[in-house]
Amino acid sequence: MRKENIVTESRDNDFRDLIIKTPGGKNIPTCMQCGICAGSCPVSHEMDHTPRELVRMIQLGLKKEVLNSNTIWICTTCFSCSVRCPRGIYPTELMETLKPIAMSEGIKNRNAKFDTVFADVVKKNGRASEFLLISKYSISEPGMIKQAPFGLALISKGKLPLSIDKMNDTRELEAIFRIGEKAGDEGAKESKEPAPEKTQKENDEPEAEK
Amino acid sequence: MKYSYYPGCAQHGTAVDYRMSVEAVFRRLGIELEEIRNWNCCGALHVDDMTTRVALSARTLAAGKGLDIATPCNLCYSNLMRANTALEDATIKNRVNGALTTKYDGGAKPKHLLEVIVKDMGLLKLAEHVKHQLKIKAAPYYGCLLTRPENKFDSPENPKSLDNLISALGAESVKYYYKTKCCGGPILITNEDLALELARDLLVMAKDSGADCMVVTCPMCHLQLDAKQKAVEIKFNIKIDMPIIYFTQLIGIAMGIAPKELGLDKHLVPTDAFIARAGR
Repeated sequence: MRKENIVTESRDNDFRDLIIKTPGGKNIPTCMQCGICAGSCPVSHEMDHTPRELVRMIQLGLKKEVLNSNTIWICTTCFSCSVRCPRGIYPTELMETLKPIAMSEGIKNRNAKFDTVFADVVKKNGRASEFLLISKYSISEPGMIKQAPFGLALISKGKLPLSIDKMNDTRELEAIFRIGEKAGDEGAKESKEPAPEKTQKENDEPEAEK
Repeated sequence: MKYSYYPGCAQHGTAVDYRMSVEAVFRRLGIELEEIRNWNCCGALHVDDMTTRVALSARTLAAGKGLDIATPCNLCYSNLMRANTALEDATIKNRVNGALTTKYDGGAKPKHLLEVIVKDMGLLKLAEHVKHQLKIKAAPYYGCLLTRPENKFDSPENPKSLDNLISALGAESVKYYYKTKCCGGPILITNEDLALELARDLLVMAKDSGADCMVVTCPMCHLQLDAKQKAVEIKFNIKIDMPIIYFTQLIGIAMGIAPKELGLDKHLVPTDAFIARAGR
């Protein structure tokens, strides 16, 4: 493996600890860099860091590099890596964990935009009408005009109804989406607070659970 | 046999053909699917706050009324399965239940419609309904989320249930090495070049395997492989012409149900020649 000089300033142990504390993160310290995740990934050739590298970068606390990596957004969520990882790390879940963190740090791209539109449509209507999704997304992505013939082909087959599919009552959905909004606020607060007494445990590798 | 039914959003849009074939086939098989009232989207792969996504599925699981919850969609299925696992954590469960009117208390079992047919009903029973032995070769394509990250009925690496179903209808299930490789559906809108590359690999492999059609279990895979097939042909300058058939449509053809009732005229890749070859 290539040896890199990592300067202390680029390491953010709070970030590392934050990720390890998430449901999918607890086994990250046990990664032995076997690379089965990268080997199983159908799209690793398009990533600027393979899933294997990304896991190592988290162990090292390279927050900026991790959150700016296109890896998080290239992932198709196929879970091939996750069912094969001998350490039970679930890199797919790691990508899912990193998405909202990257977005809250101001990362902007087409995927983040689409996910925001999607969540908004579901929150307001309870269901994801494809026509509404694509129209809303296209407003800010002029390139989508190229998809117009595709949309017309679907419409001609009755597969893209122009009416909006809605739940009868979406009040409960508002409460559900508030869960994430609250968590977002708390998470932002937490990551800004200085984390005390962390250096002592830095080199203790937590054991893999289960 | 009776299930609570969670159709998922695509059944009201791009998967209208899937919906038609599910209704036609399950009614005739005597399997009752009672649609959950006022159901909500599972969040697919695009509601990024994971607790929110778990809560969306928890609401569905809590609405099961003591029945197993059947769903036709691989994405919905995986979100329901993953939610059950995530909700074993008491902290998450409490946060989620704080937002729900009908509380989640575990117990509801999600089942994909393929599982309902292959495991609950059984292929011997299905074979009794077959009127025409299908004289075709079919490539079984499972996609990702039917078996990964978790399921209770088949292998995530080399699943066989769809292979066996194809055989039970008299057709030949070809060796298809990409049966669980990703179709690229989730990144179709945001990264079309890469998504079409993945679709091309699947389609070309199916063609090379000698299949007359690919059989799918997911609206997202169908959109990608059927509706986007022409885009693949143009982008890579190849001819594919591979009909993409929902497994419920394949069952319907074997049961002698009219192709129109199964929505087979709603595909973007024409299915006429395939239906003729299937022995009708």
